[in-house]
Amino acid sequence: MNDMSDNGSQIVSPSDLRDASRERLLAEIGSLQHQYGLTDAAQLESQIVKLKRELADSEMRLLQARDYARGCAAELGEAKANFAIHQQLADRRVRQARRKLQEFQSTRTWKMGRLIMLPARILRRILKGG
Amino acid sequence: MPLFSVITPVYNPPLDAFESCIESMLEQTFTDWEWCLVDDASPNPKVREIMERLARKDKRVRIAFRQTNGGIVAASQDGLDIATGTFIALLDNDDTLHPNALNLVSATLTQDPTVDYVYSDENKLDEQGRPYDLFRKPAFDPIRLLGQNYCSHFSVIRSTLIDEVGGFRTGYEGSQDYDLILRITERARTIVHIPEVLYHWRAIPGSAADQHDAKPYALISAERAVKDHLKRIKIDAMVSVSDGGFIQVRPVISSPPPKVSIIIPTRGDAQRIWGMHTCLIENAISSILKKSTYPNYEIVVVLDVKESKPLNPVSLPEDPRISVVHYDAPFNFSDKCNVGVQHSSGEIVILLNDDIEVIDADWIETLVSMLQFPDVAMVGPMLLLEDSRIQSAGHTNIPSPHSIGSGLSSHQTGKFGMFGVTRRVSGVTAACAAIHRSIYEELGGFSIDFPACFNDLDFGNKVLESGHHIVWTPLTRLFHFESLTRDPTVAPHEMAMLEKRWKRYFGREDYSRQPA
Repeated sequence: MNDMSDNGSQIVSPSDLRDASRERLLAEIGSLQHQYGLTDAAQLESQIVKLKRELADSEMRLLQARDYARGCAAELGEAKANFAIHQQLADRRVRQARRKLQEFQSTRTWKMGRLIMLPARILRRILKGG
Repeated sequence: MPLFSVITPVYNPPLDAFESCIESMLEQTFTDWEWCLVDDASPNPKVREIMERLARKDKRVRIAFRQTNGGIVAASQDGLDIATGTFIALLDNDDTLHPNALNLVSATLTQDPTVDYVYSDENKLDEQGRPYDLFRKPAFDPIRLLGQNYCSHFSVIRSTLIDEVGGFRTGYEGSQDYDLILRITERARTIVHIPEVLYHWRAIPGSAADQHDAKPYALISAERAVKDHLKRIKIDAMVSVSDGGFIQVRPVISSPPPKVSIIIPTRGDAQRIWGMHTCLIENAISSILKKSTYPNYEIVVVLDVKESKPLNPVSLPEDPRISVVHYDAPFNFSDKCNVGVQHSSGEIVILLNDDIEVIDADWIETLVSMLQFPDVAMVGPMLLLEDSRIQSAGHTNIPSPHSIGSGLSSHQTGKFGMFGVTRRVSGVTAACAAIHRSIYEELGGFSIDFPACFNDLDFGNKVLESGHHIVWTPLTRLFHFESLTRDPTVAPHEMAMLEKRWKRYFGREDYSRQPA
């Protein structure tokens, strides 16, 4: 039978090997329990319950965040639709105003006025030029 | 080559109706058309006379005479054979067109060169020529088209597409146009509905316009046409004909059947139903367990509690399929639905109110079946009030969001089969709605901003906005003892919220949206 070394202790039979593996496993569990502050099974269970609750809360928050995003997109769509309507209305008013201006400028009164004011405009231009 | 070839098979029409038909064609404001009239050996010699006179009068009229009577399919096919137009329009020999019909279709075709098929609204004319039965049709709905030929008249189809599908088929007499439209819509690039009445049916006793069961052979042909169509588009489904004369299509559920989670939010209230003081949730669960035949379902009851105690005493049967989730937050129907879904595990979720009672044993099968249609995310059944009048047959946005058919008789199929055919809708009530879980989660579930009202309208809009479809089906019915459990008043902030999100769709039946 071969002698085997494990952390300095002597292994002389297969049962020793099993014991050594078990000890190492227990040591690792102990270290993990220490790392996560778990000292007994009840604590472990409560930790699992807590984590499950946190997961459920996160899932719910994710669901609500998705709804919020969809809601924002819907509100943006609504704002865009309103903007398009207002833009169309504004464009229409501008068109109407331009048409009115054109109609006004094509009247005889306007043309006469411009003719009467022509000398004054020429004089102003000369004075500005000087 | 004209833009339109109007095809009219002629067989012994009432002469005054035929004259009206001719008049309506000659009055068209759009002039780039030809009219292909094929007489199918009419016994009345005057028909031939009229046709010959017409051909002499207008060079755009092309006439053909069959030696023997071959039936409507043969005559229609002969019409197609002599047609040279880019588009084929179908007109029956006793019907009339609106003077602007071809003009409006032409304008539509000019706007989009990919349009292959156009259909319009229609009405009927009685024997005195008075209009009635105005049919305002929905936008193209392939699911409704499986139940009835709602596109019907006025139909205008690209001629190359007709050639591609092989024109009219023999063996489908009476439903030859339905069969053609089914084959056309499978391949059409763009289908457009013109929301104007461009076609007037003449209701002559015995004609299809006069009554649905006038031509039972047409119904047999229609059933066969739908079966063929489903085979071509690779949907495995059961097809039958309803008493009302509609085709009923139930897609086959995949095997093994997906797990269904029935979510029932409840406060444990009791009310008077069928004359007896009844705990609603107990009644709902009892009817589900007694009647449902679906093999794979669970029930998740979301029960309001205060300090860990139910608000009302509830006694539910011991059944491994039932689980109860306690809800101790302030009332919020949406949140309760979300919590229920979170505690469930089915691929398909059915949201159910506690004031529901199951009628049909195969209700779950029917709802799951409808979810097998491509792109369908949500399905609702016919919901009935205690006195069997309709509570809801889906939602419409016209003129503003509301339930369709509320208070009307459920023993009739409604105008144009409204309550007789499975069809797309703008939404369905959350009192009973089946949804794919993946889509429910993807869309963020029900919005908690709608704690009492409009949560289903909001969710429906989210479904449509994401490019999915919502279907309502009359193939299963449940009782909904509406508003027995809740205050019917609407919170103004919920209405304001709904308008803030979706007002642009009010007044529009826009249930086929492109995803943003």
